[in-house]
Amino acid sequence: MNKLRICAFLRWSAAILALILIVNLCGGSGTSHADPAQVFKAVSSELDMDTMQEADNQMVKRLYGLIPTDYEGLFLWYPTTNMGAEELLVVKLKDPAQAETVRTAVEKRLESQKKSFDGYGVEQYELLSNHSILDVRGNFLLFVVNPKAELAREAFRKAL
Amino acid sequence: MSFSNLFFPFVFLPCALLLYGLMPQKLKNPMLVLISLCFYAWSRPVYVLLLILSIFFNYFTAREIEQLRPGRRRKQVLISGVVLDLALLAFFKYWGFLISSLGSLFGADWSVSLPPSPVGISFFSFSVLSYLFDVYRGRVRSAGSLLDCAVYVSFFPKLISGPIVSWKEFEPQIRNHPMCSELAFAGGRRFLTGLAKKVLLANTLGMSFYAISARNPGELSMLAAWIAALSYSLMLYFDFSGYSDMAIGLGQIFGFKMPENFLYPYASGSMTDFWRTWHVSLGAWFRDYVYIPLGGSRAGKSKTVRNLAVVWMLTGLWHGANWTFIFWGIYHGSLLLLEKFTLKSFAEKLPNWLRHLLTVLLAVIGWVFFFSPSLGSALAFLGSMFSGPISDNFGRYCLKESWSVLLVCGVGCLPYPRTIARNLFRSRNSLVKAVSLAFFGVLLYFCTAGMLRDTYTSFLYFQF
Repeated sequence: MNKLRICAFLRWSAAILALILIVNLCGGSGTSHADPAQVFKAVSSELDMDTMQEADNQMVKRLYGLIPTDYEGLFLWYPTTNMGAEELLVVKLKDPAQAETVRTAVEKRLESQKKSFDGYGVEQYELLSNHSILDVRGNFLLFVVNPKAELAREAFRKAL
Repeated sequence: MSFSNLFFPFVFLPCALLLYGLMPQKLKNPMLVLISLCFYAWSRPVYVLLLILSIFFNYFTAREIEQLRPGRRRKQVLISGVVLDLALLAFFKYWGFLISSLGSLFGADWSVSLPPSPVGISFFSFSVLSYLFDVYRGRVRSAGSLLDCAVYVSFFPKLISGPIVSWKEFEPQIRNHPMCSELAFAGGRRFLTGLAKKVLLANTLGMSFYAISARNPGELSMLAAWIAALSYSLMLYFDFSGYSDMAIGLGQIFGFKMPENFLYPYASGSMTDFWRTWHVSLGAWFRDYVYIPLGGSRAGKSKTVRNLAVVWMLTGLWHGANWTFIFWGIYHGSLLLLEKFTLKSFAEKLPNWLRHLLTVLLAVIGWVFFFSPSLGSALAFLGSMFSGPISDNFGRYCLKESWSVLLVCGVGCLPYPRTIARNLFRSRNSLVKAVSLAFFGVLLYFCTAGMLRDTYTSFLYFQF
């Protein structure tokens, strides 16, 4: 009988702890109904967009391995020249489960860009190392490489 | 973490093997759990807590079930365990879909705040559910220790995308899974084969598929639409069977034997055979824990129809919270019912080649619902496959770019290449052995180059 009580106590303890964890997770990652185009507009207004160009679907796939139609909204601006490192990506996810895929794609892209500039593009490497921000807020994701990355993040959070 | 990311085969796996190999026998399983938890925590550490709590919960639930005598209380414990496991799955995967679907029913825009789904939740939830059911039915004993249960649930090769292994198959191996060079070598070859399927074939097929699917589905020529549909069908096979090969190979390296998940489905001569050979472990799960408990096909025709309908609705829903997946499930359920009750005798009279062709054709049509973002888009895509202009410049360009990879993959998804490879490895001729070893060396070189070239491409089944 004792054994049974211990088992029941432990399993319900695990269930309650899981519930607390989920409640905490929900509190930290609310879904936003903001229009992704408006969020992108708010973020891009903080940055100098002349150093970047808009990516089409093919380019998004090439640079990030992502398919734009899989998401509710995806805006990518990438450097106009090979020597540029500034980048801006705003994604509105259809399903929160997609966050992991996009996050990993961004990390991979950042890693690959760092490798490209390591050793010869000092400024670009510095920009990628110290002025790149990946921010996931619920169903929105921002990735920005820019000297004004911090301002972009503030605008991103306000726009949600 | 993905098996096809350079970091995994060149850093994580060697470190894991080194740590595991250095441990004394008693500490090997704790180290395996630690490695698995690190693997799971890599991208989103907080979810490892959820996994640990799930292991705790299911271990103690199974212990309680086992200690109780058959009766109402025992059943209550099982039900509470199953309900909580399903609630976890439903909350992360289906809650948002349910609320938004209800909202659209009333013409309102309802949505809820949800955190991202834990990776592999569908797979590990099904593992623990089968464990609870089997303990309740008395088919197996519950785990002797929390550690054994943790090894079973968290074993990293199968944790994220299966195969879904039952406790009955896995338990005898937990205490006895010696690593040996022969098995590790075979496992390494299997892992490399899977990696090549993913990096060299699936990712290459993906290029043509994504190039075409980025366009409006209603404006495609028949040629372009068919190239996209065939590319996706083969990509999905090489992607997921590649992942399964890697998982089985990694299992072998650590001394575990896991069941096959793909048995050349595109070589099947009927839809029934197709589903016996595609994602075998999921099909077996639904058969053992849904179809048979509902009465299977022994309770009369009308109940068989009901049981199959339930199984296929759930199979569709398992793949994702979207009407396209539900429709895809209904589509396959209907085909199986037709085959079982109406068309069987007719199909048996058809020549073999025609039956194979029809099976592939029906599977390809089904995948259109699988890859389309909405039912409208799927119907538009099917419209382009069967009507409109036969070809255009874009279609001809796609054909020129992708015919060779389609041909290689079309042959590669049949059993012949593996038969040849097996015979080569069984050969005692040292020259043949040296050539086959060199082949795997070249394969590793190309896979590494492919992983360096590609930006990150996730496995398609990670989303499920």
